[in-house]
Amino acid sequence: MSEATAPSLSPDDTDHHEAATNTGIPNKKLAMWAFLASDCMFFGTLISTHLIYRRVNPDIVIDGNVVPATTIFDIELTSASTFILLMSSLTMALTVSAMHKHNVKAARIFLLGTIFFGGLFIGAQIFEFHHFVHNEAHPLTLTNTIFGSTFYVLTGTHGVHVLLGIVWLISWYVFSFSPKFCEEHVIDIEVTGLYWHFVDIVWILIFPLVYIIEYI
Amino acid sequence: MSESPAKSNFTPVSEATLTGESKRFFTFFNVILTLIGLTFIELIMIILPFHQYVLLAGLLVLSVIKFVLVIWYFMHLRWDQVLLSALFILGIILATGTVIVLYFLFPAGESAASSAAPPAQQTAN
Repeated sequence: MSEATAPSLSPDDTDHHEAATNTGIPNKKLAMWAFLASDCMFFGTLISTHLIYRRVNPDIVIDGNVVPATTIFDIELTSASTFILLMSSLTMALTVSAMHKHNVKAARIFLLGTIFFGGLFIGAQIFEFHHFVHNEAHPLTLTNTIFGSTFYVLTGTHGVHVLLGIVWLISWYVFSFSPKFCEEHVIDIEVTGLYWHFVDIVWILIFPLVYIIEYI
Repeated sequence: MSESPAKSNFTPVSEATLTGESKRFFTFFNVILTLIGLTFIELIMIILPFHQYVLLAGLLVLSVIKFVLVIWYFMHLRWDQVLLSALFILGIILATGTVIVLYFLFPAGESAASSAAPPAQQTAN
């Protein structure tokens, strides 16, 4: 009974079937995947910059002392952040699923959950950065070591991505109460979901390559 | 009050869509449990006395599995057209290639700790 036969996209088309485009894929979705592919290269360069500088300069020298990264990091907090971001990915997937079912009420609840977990992640990152910078024994700033520079640029860029995602999600939450919010926006929320999951997979890579690797 | 405009803008979906999405609902929970489990294993691994290269390889494999699970299920590549997978994999290949090539382009530096002391240091605690 999927006879919402609008000339553009039916709700089921916005799901995973052929769309009325040359590629059979909704253009917005294709554009987002192309953007994410390019963002892979962006994060690839940032991750490689961090790894190269760790390889070339194995010692983190702060105020003339060699400081192991393990004494700077708080792996428990970072693990909690990872868990939080994974949970946000689940709620985002459930948001998209609810939108496919046209269950706006459920979608709003899951959307709020995603915003909550995203906010929690950002809060944890701000706390972590504050803790690193104001560490009395060996403060790690953006400029006092190469490690600090590459670490803050990489994790900070990821944090900015999360922040932008949160703003995007909040705007969807607010817009979902508008009378203009309709079936056509299912694909838009799916595209937002793609972005959010991408931010999650970047963290999945950053967590072992930047944090856990220091404990080996 | 807020529900009325939404209801009028959304037609009921087909039974097939409802069934499909309900199945996915449980799939998503299985995936998230697997992801959390793998993250837990990553943390356990650094405590266990594995060889450095075994640990590195293990962490890499676990990360790749987590990565694939998210893009395959949460990002719906499993149910989407293959063109999207190809597009994203192209980006991944270029990014991974960049990371690997750049990493091995630069020689490893000398650590003050390793030159001053025997290499059997660094206990993770």
